[in-house]
Amino acid sequence: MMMIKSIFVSFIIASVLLTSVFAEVGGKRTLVVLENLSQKNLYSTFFKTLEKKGYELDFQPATTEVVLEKYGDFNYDHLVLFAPTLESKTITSNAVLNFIDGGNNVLIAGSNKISETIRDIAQECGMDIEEDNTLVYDHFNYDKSQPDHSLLVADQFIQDSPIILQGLDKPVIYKGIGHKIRSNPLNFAVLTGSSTAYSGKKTNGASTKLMGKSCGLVSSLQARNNARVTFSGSIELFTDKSFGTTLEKNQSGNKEFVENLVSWTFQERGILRSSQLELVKISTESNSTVAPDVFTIKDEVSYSLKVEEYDGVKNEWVPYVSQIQLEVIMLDPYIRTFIKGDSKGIYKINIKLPDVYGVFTFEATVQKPGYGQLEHIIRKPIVPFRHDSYERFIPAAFPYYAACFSMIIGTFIFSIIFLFNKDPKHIQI
Amino acid sequence: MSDLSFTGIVKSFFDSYSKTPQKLKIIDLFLIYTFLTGVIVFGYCCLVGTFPFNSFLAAFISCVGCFVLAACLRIQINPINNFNKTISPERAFTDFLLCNLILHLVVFNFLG
Repeated sequence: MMMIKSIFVSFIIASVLLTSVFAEVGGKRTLVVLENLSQKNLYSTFFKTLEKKGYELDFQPATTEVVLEKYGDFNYDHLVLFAPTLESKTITSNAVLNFIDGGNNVLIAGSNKISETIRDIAQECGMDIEEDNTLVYDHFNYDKSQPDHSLLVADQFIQDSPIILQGLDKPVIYKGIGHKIRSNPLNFAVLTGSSTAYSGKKTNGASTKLMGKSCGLVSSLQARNNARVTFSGSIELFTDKSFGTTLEKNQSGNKEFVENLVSWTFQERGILRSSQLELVKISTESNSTVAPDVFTIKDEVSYSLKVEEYDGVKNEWVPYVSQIQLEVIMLDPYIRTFIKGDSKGIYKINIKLPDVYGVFTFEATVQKPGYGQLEHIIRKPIVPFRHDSYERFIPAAFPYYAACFSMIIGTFIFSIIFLFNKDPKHIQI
Repeated sequence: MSDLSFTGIVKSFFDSYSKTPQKLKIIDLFLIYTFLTGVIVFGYCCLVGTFPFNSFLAAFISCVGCFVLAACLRIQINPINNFNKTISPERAFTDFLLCNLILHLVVFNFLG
């Protein structure tokens, strides 16, 4: 009976552990906050694609009273804020920031009127939104079929990043407010204005200080806990109308762009994890008898780490084949090297430890925009040679040994001669 | 008057050296021997590099130490220095041996 009970308890503990590990990515519960529920039809294509991918959408109006977190558990994995004038009692900026701190994702869309709640959230995520009643204008890159110069045709996408997959070259329609992002390694400008864009007042079009490529249109935050926050200054970006707009006979790129943006924001790609660390000694210069897992200075060691990337479409972890950085640090990095991965996502390198002893940190990192934080840290002491680990009887040292022995023998012979020598009588000491 | 030419100086040096007690001459011979060994050790080190540096140091210190101790012995038993009132030649020689023992303990500890 006791045994069954203990098995049952350990099963419960194991399942709790498993859920706490795997609840991190791949959640599908999504809260969508709209200005009012009738606006749902404006974005029907967007919501349909999400539902097709398995996201469970819960639509709520801006005046909603649903809570994001209850008793320390989050009720949702993702939050879509399509309500620029949001002033809710339950979805406050603190609640949303708490939601982000819990590792969940937020997609925010704004327009030319933005509430304090949204501003606070954006501010905390490194984005400074322009004042109300401003729009981004561009007198060169706008939809030429309309007289409105604030209907931008934007194509300054982020390059070399999993946020927007390569091959997307169709420009997107954008109408909305601009923002500035702070220079911060965690913030990325996903879409910026072209060099002729500027942010201007809606009433008279007078320019503000924000212009050119520093004028952000869509930006993201990749937090250290892998949470992702994307802010788009334009809610029109997501509408059926902009999905269907044709630009000089070509379909606008909005649909693909939004799909890429949302799948990245909802952690479908670019989340990394590492496992199977192997750090073993291959060869050593010390003549020592210490245990094989104790590293001495100048040892040659093999470092191997498996890195995987989450594939949200297949809902599994696939090998991440690229490059990672390995540093061996004791206050300063003594070794900094880059490791290329093989097709199985194994990163392996042989390194020679420095000629310095102390507690060293082996830190493997991936620092690429759009990829989640990967920091694999292991600390190992590197010990100096013991008194008995030095090499003995080196051929090059034989003449030195000979010199020492000749001194001893010399002293011995000298002593004998000195003692038994009798001085002639006339010169006595 | 003494002869100040080179050969004259050498000749007068050997003349006066022949009057030196034989025990001091033996010490002098030993001094030359240790000096030459030291030079050879240093020359070898210059030739092959300092790799077993501790071994080189041990050998060199052994030569230098023996030289210094023998020189001290020579000073102490030399009748000109008038040490024999305070330090007898027997005691000087025992000191020499004991110091040699300590020196070579250190040297062999260092030799590697």
